[in-house]
Amino acid sequence: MKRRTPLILAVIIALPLLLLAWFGVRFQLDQQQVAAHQLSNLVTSRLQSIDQQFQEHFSRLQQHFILRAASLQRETEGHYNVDSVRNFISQSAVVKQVFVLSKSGERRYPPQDQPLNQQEQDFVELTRHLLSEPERFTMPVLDPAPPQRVANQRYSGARNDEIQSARLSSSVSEKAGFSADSSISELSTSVKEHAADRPHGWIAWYAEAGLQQIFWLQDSDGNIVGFALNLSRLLSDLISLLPSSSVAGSGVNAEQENDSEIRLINDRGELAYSWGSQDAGPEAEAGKKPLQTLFLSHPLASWHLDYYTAGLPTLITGWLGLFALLLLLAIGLSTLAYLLYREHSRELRVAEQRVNFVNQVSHELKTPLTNVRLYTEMLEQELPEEEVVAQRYLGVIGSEAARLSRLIENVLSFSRLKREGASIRYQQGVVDKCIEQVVELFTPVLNSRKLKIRFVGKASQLCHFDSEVLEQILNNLLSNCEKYAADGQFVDISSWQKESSDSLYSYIRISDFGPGVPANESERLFEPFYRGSDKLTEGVSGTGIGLGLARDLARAHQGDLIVEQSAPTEDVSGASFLLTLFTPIALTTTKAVSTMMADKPDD
Amino acid sequence: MNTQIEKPMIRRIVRAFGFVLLSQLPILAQANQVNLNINLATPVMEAEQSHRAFIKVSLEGFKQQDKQARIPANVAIVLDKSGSMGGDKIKYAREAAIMAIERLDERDIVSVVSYDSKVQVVVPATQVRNHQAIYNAIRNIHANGNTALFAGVSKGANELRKFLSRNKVNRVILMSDGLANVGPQSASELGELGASLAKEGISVTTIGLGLGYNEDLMTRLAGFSDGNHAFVENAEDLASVFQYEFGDVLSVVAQGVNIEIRCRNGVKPIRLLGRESQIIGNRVTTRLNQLYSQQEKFVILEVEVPEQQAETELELVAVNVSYDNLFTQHQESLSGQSVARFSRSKQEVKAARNDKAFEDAVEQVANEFSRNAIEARDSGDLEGAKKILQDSASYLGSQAESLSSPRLQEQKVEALKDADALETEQDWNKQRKELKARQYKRATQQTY
Repeated sequence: MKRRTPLILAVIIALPLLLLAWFGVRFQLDQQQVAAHQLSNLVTSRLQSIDQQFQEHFSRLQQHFILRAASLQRETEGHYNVDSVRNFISQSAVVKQVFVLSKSGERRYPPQDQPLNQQEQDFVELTRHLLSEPERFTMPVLDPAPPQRVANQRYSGARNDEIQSARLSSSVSEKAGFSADSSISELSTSVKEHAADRPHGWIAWYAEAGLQQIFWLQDSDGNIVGFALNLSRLLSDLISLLPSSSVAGSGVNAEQENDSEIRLINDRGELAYSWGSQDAGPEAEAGKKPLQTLFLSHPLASWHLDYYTAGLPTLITGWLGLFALLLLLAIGLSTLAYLLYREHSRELRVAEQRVNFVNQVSHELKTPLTNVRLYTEMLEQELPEEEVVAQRYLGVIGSEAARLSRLIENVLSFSRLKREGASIRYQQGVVDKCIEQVVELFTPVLNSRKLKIRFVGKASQLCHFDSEVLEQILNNLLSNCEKYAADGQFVDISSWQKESSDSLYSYIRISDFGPGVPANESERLFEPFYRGSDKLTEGVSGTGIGLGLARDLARAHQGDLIVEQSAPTEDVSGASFLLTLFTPIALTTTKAVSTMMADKPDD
Repeated sequence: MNTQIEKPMIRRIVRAFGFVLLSQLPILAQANQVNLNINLATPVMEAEQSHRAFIKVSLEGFKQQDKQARIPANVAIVLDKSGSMGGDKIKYAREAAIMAIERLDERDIVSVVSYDSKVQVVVPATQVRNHQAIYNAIRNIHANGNTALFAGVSKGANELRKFLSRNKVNRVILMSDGLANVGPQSASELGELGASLAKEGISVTTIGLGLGYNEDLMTRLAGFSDGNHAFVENAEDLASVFQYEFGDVLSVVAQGVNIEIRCRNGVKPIRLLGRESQIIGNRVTTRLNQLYSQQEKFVILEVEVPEQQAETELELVAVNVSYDNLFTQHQESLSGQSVARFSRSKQEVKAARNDKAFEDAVEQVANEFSRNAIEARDSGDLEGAKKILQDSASYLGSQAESLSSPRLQEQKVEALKDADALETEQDWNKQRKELKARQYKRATQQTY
């Protein structure tokens, strides 16, 4: 009992904790996944927006080039004479070189019949394969996504929109830092419109120096005009589009995440630009993998963006929260359990004190009671026969004193049983004789209740048993009969013995004709301090330990005490107890055999 | 009779008046116009012989009328704050930048960009109103990390673009002490960027600090955009270099100078000394980003002149110059030509020699030798490099004597010293940087 309480309490603490921990961990893991998913979505959209920016840049360049090509064509009346083109190249910051192929695929610029400058020579050398295959410039390639606001206007035929578009493009060209040229705005809008419908496209093309970006378009005469970008300038412009890193120790770019870094990797796999956190030095993550990689759209298709991040700090706080919650719960539950345990043990102590007190009192009562009985008997013998009244009074005193001493004996042996278990002292004797003695003792008491004992003894074999235990059991059973079955007239006691393989069992059945025991209560009768139904116990005094004690004793004697369920016929009511005792004929061991621990009260 | 006397009188008076007017014209013009001078080093050449001739095309910025009327500047200071800048270096760099900005006022735009592995815009392009706030931001720069030079220049240029205007002096001042190791890092890529920026009217001045930077890259970047270049060995000297640089920036009078030289009459261009140029057929073009007040910038064109008859004159080249005058805010153009005379008399040839132009030409030729020497040394040909410099020195020596020029004499001594310096292995890094910076200054007539 004492060890069990802390165990139960521990389970009470552990179970909810474990449950909560389990669900908490599950929840956290889910959260983590959700957060990771959200983060990756966020990152993807961020990277895509960068890609979109680049696309817009290319779209602006494209517009710019379409305009410039048209103005070149107009200026030179379709001849693309060398000086004009050179002049254009020398003024344009974004263009490295221009080429013009005639309808038949012949190179018109850089000129074939005039001396070339160094740059042009290099360019011709670099692009000889490309320019020798003019069929490359017939298939239009998908345009880079234009800026959202311009998208609708570019392809619509309405005149208003075109004017707006022209304005936009001129502002765009300023924004992008292209060489300012007033001739663009003078250009008729129809030229521009038609230029957009003619085949054009971007070619990303590998040459010695890396990826060359070329925009080409067909002019109205069928010539192919190509613009090769100044790659350094292109990268510089892209870098300008991208954010710079925040200055350490100041919150200039507060909206930027602190622990992430985005890198722009070029076609050769080299880092072209990076921005983001200050802490993540490049040497720190030589083998670190990017959280996400996005390949850019055409014409920068071989470039990609890498997103690096230091970690997921938000989730650590989640784990911390869970841990704190569990800790708090554990502390709360432990405190509660401790308080409960303290209360419980205090109650136990008080109960024990009470039991001790009762034992003490019972013990103190025993000696004077013995004296009372002794002197009563002595007086009974001294008193002459004719003093009938006095004799009768003495008889009452004697029987009451005997009852009292039985009561005390019950209490003492109950507490002894609880304390140290029952010890059985086997002695040789005859069971029937012992029963007779008890019957004799009870006869006057039962007679006064108008009860008559009918004893049929068949257990006359000499055997070993504890007569004191047997007496106590019978005392208890009979005094129950006296208390509860007083209107039954008879109490039947029968005894027999049965021998089975080297051992002898004695059986004693005690039946009364009182109100009987309901089947559902038959087990609970034996629980200590349980006293049958109210109807039954009404007006009857008792401690409620009798039957339980009797059974414990019987079990200690390697036997049992049970309530026999007789067939519920209406006319024959009453309770019938069957006592079984192990009564060996000869003791195999000299000492008392069995000392059963009887600390299972509800068994 | 009366009338007969008066007619020549009037003619004389008118002529005299016209002369006075004409002689005043250049002075008047000089007040707000760039001066174009085309000088042939040998205006008279021996006849019946083909020649190599030097033509000096020089431009001189006019004088700024007064300090108040100067051209507003739009300057981006790009500071290297990579790990190697740690300690005193970054401190001096910060102070140099601050002292330089002290010279600016409300008319000017300044931005400060710092870079290591990444780029930080320390001061976005802003009018110089609140000096203290700018200084505080600059003082926040601390050294750390790698060298993303390309991105730094890109961002600096981007800051300039916010207020980019033809009427301002648009300049990126790049200070670096290390090799570019994040992003593009080759001299050619940076040169390409410089060329592109120059087309927008942005020039990049590069200041190399210490012995760790790539002088080829820095001079290429400066050269293509016609900025200045300086080698600063000790960080203490940064402040004075910044002061010179800002002095230059604040004295710009003309920008976007295009020089076009067309060779006539079978004259063949051979090379343009000193500056990047395009030679297509008989047409030579080059570009200066700006002209400073009262500073002479020139180019030397070497041409081959075919045989001519004696006592004839021949137009060698026609020069066209166009530029943006920052005071009148107009595009203006100048033109001129160079005519040579041919004679049999050696004395006449000698007497006619333009010593100043010839001196400048010799200086540039020797400078070209010096460049070749570095190339030879880089390719491992130590002896060849030494030989080139020694040849250069003897060439300088003989020319110095015939021209009795102390300047060339000095250059000769320099060349001999450089020839010795080629051999010192451990000091070569520093020597090379010094040499590169000196060559650059000579070629671009940089004042500091």
